[in-house]
Order: sequence, then structure tokens, then C-alpha cells
Amino acid sequence: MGTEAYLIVASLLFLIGASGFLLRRNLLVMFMSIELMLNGAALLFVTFARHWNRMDGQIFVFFIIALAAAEAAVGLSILIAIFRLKHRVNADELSELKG
Amino acid sequence: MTWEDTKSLMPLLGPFLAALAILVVGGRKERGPNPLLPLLALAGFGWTLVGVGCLWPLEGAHDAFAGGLRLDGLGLVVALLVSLGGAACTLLSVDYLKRRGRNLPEFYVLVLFSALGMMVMGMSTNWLSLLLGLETMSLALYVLCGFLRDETRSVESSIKYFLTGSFASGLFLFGMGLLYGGTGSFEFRDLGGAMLDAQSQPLIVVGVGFLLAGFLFKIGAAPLHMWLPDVYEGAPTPITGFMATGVKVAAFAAVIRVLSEIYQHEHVGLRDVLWWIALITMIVGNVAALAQTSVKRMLAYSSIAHAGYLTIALVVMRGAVGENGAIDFSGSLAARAILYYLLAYLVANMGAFGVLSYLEKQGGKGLAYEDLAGLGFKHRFLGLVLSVFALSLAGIPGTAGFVGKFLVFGSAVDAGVGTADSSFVLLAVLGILNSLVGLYYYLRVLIQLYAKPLAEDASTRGAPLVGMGTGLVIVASFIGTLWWGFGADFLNLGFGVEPAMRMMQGALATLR
Repeated sequence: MGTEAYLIVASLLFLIGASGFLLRRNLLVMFMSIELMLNGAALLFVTFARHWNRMDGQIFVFFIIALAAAEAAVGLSILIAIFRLKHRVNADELSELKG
Repeated sequence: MTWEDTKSLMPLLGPFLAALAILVVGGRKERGPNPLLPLLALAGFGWTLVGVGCLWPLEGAHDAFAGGLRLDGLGLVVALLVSLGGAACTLLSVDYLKRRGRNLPEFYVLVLFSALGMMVMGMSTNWLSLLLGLETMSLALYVLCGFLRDETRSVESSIKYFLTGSFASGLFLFGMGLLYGGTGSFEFRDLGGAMLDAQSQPLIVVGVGFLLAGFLFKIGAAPLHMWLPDVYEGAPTPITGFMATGVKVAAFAAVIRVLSEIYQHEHVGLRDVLWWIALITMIVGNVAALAQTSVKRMLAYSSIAHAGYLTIALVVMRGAVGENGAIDFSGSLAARAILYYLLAYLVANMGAFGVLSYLEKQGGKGLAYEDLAGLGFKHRFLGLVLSVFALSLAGIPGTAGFVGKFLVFGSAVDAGVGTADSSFVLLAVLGILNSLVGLYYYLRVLIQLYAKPLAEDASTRGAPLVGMGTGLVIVASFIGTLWWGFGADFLNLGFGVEPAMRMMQGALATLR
């Protein structure tokens, strides 16, 4: 299979993630959508690493995975903090700050 | 990783070692406030400042980590500005956290790590080091925003920053992936050449678009600024000051590095895109700031407006390619103006947020315009310094903010005069009109301070004395604002406007 097929899958993953982030209101689902976007980008790096016959793209993906893990650790703890205060994880109820 | 690498990374080691030391010292079982910890953090920032002082002026540049990090003049200026901001944030936090009952070791660790990320961002020359710097900075800041975890406002600001910030990271990464596909390498320097190649051009253009969206998000430029006022308002006040200044310094340094490569090929329409972004950002920031009732939120919107002014300089900056492909922006008034503006913004903004962090009451109250009424007579010194900071942010002559604005608008006029294209001059004129609008909401602070009677039930009564850390930051920012405005040159003292300008110029001589 050519590079194009992988590119389409990567872009689709990214688009699904981005639209999920913009359309869904549950904070946890929004967070999962971001993970999907990161995975789309990771697939892009792997594809191009193969296309250019280079290893550095593959190594970049390890950094993306580490980044996703770090984001999960920080993000889930912030989610727990907001749940403890509000007992909800809905983006529409975050309305204390506005103006 | 060689000894040479380590040597050129000396400025970065300060915050890193200090953070580790605090983790060791502060990780005891009884987690009370420990006066040693902020001192350790300050020592870390002091190390960086001393390191910058020893290395300056830098002959050429040192590359470390196989060229991933580049310690050159720009890197040193970023390290200098970020560690000044970080030290100010640490000093403010000591008093602030004590009053909030959250004086915990991890706060200082996170401030140090976010500063480290900012410095790495300013020194990065490829996508990997840029990403690592960006995320080190962002992940630490997400947590710092929500540090007052019993207050809904703080946690709400944290979750908003986290979600929108990670979304921006996603855009960033996807853009980097496309650029990697177009160039086959991670280096910024390969961008320009690949742009001319018809086959990889579409990938590069889309990639730069995504990347730019990520950058614009981080600096809070319209139309990607929605998160900024909420996050800045809810975050602990010293952190808001640090975010507004440090993130801008790091992001603009990285943007200068990336754009200096892209601008080698003038046919790209990037300048037009940035032209509109600068205009929209100024207008959105200024108009929204007019309608605010809280001074802290007004400063958040004004931070958007300042990002707009800085973007004007991004539009007009222009560099030269020297022998063996070195890129030299030291002849560009605009690039210099960005760095000087950032310095001026840093001192005035840290000072203003320092005053606010002193005035703030439990639950983020006490920061409305009305709460300032008559304060200029009650706290004469606080009133005076807050007025000077507001005037500097507005760009009144005699303050550092004026010199910054003058350089930015002047560079736009300079780039436009003598060419058939009048768009640069027009942008400068629009920028000046916008700062006139800005004058309104900054002067409102002064009116409240001096023209309104002190409310008798003012909750400022019986307020504690200004703590030592806060006082130090306020006095230092006050001196800095006037020093880099006119004072040092007028009195013919050391490091004034001219030497600072020469430093900024030298910083831009060896971008590649």
C-alpha cells in the first residue's frame, strides 16, 4: 500500500479527534478526542519515516507516546479535582469565569 | 552528549538542579511551609542570570544535543527574560501562597520546570526540542493554574487551559508531522529550501498553517484567544503574570526562529495572513478590555492586545543571509523591537500583577475597578507604582512601554516607507489608533486610584503590610519600567535603553 492510504487514515484520525473535541461537551470525551488527534499525528510521523526511509520519525513517535502519557496523568488529575468540586464533568457547567 | 554540550547548557542547569533539590528537600512527611524552598528556586534562577552574564557577549553559537538546542544570543536573551519573570513569580508566590494556605514545595518545582521549558523553546532548532520545551512548559503551567484546588475558579481555569492547550498541542504535532513529510527532516533550516520544491510545497504550506495555529494559540492571538481571559482570571495571580510574560517570550523567540527560515523566500503569503491576525488581535483585545469590570481580566484582554502589537513586528521583520548560509536578523529593527517590547512588557506586567496579588482577597475578590477607589491616597506608594505600570502598558512616554511601542510602530513605518506597498504603514497607523483605545482602560485604573473617594467600608482596611517578596518585585519592576523608559539614559547610568537595544541586536545576529 502506498503512502497515501496511511496519510488518509492519519488525517481521518486527526479529524475525528478534532471534531470530537469541538462537538462533545463531556470533559472526559473531549480529553479522549485529543488523544485521538495525537495518535493521528503519530501515525503521520511513522508514515513519513517509512516514506523517507529514516528512523528519526519513528523515534519522534516515542516522544509523542510519552507526551500522551504525561498529558493523561496531568489531565486526569485536573478532571478529578473539578469532579470533587462540582460532581459533574460537563464543559457547559464551567461557567464561573466569564465576561 | 559531550562535555561541550554540558558547558553550553549551563544556563539551563540552574532551574533543573534547583527543581531536583526542592523535590529532595521538600519531600518530607510533614509538609509545612519551608522558607528554604523559595530560596532554592531563586538560587536556580540566579544561576541562570549569572550564566547569562558570564556568557554574554557570545561569539557565534554553541550547538548541543546534535544541534537540537542552540545556545546563541537569542537563547541567552530568552533565558534572561524568563529567569527574571520566574524569579519575580517565585517572590510574589511566597506571600500569595502563605495567605492562601497553599505554600507547598511542588509549586516552586513546577515554576522552575515551566521556566526550563520556556528556555528550551527559545533555544530549539528542530521540531523535537521545540515540542519538548513547549510541553515541559505547558504541562507545568496547567497544574500551576489549578494550584488552589479548593477554589472552583482556579480549577476551572486549569481544566480550560489543559483542554484547549492540549488541542493546540495536537495542531502543533500534526503540523510538525506534515512538515516532516515535506522536508524529510526535523530541522527548521530545511523549511526554506523545501518550500521552493513544487512537490513538497502543499505539505509545507498546510503544515506551516497548523504550526502557526498552535503558536497563535500559545501567544493568545485572535481568533484563537478564547481560552485566555478565563484562564488568566482564574489562575493564581503570580502565575497569571508569569504566564502572560514567560509564555510570550518563549513563543515569540521560537516564532522568530521558524519565521526567519520561512521569510528567506518572499513569495509566501504568510505576511498577509499575519497582517490580518495582528489587526484582528489588537482590535479584539482592546475592545473586549474596554468592557471589563475586573482589573485582572482587563489585563488578560490587554495581554491579547499586546500580542497583536508584537505580531505587527513579526509581519515586517526582514533578515539577511550571510556567508555560509548564516541568517542574520540584527539589521531588522522589527526583530529587535519584539525583544525590547517583551522586556518592557515583562517588567510592567510582573509589577502590575504583583500589586494585584497583594490586593487580592480570598476567592479572587478585591480586583474590580471599584476596589481600587481612593487607594492612591491610602497606599501612596502602591498607587504610584500601579499608575506607572498602567502608563507603561498604555505606552506613555517616559516608560519602557513607550520605547517598546515606539520601536514596533517605528519599524512598521520604516519597512513601509519608500515602497509602493502602503500596507505596513497602514498597519502601524491602525496599531497607534488601537493603543489610543487602550489608553481608555488603563487610565480608568488611574481615575479609580486618584479621582474617586475611598469607600468607607473598604475591605482594604486593616490589610497586612506588603510582604518582603512582593515589595521587592514591585520596587524592582518600578525601577525597571522607568529605567528602560528614559531614566538610565537621561542620568547617563549603566544598562539603559541603548545598551539594551545593542544586546537585542547582538542576540539576532546568529539565528542560523
